[in-house]
Amino acid sequence: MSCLCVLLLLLGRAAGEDPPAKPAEKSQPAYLAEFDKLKADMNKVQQAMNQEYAAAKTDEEREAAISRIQTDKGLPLADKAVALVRLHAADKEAVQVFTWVLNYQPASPAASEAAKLLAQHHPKNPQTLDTASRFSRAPMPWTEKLLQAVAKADLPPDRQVRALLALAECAKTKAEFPSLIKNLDPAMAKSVQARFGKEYLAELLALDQAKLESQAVQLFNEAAARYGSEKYGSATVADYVKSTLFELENLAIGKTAPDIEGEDIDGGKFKLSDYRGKVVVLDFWGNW
Amino acid sequence: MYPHERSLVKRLEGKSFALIGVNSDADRKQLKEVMKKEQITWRSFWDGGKIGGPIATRWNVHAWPTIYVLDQQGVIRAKHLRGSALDKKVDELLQDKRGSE
Repeated sequence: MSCLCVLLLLLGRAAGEDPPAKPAEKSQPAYLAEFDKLKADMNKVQQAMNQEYAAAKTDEEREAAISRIQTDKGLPLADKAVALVRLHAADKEAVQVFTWVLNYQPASPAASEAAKLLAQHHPKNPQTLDTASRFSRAPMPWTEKLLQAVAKADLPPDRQVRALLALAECAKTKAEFPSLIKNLDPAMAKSVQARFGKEYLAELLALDQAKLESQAVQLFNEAAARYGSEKYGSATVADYVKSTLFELENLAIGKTAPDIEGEDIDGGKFKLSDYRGKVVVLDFWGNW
Repeated sequence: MYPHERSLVKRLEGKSFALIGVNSDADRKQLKEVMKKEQITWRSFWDGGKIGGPIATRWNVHAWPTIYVLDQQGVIRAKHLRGSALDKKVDELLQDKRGSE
């Protein structure tokens, strides 16, 4: 292990002293070796966080430990990663570095830069779409811009529609966000703040919910109109859009819940409306 | 989740409250054993033995658990709450009812 580290260090240094890399070397670019080292370091950071998390006695201690390690150790690694490939941003090998930064430090300034460079140089790369759409239910400051760049790139329909739906999903999440946040318990609220950062969180809470909701509806409708028959997960885009619009229209806070008629685990028939007059917690669950 | 749900149900025993599940497991027999072992006494809809069952599909559920809180009139009052925030919301709604009577 330590031998490998020394080797990686040497490779990194050699690259630093010998710019620009000759195109004659067809092997992996030197920054990938440095990047492997950063990944190993990030694993150590994650381990340290897990240990602190396990050792902490209260939610406050847990949150404090995590945000301290994130700031002291995690953020510098993200900065280093972007610095490694900044001058090689157009290389296809740079994509894995950028997406790694987005996944591990999504709220960092480094992530915003990584997203910008991905949008500029790699909007058609499948990894760009995969990573950006992973954040459609927890959109970061960069997520929509990156998805817009992907949606504008000339992609095959199955990927084009994923970009559109992810954009719609972002708008929907942002529309719902304030009412979700208001009801969180203090520990959860803190971890949300740690995830999004104070400033961005304040920005999210100040958004015009009604406007975002109609924007979401419009984007979902556009996706269904243009790509309705495309497959999406186990259903078609049209089906997916239909159930999402149903949710936006009928399952929002303040709406009367649609009735459920069915049977229980033993086969006994019952309805959700049998419980009118009671406060009901409806829990979609599975034993997994 | 189970311990918190158990304590919520226990604490509100005799109150105007119900925890209702929508279960997406595949194996009914196995589920019955789990419910017995975990003392899951509350009632659940059986959602066709799969993740994309008819109820979860209609309610557009893509993440588990997903939680809705309904008031006495069946109006959705909160979504996605956990832990003490869920307890607080339920207590608040139970209180509301008493206040209006």
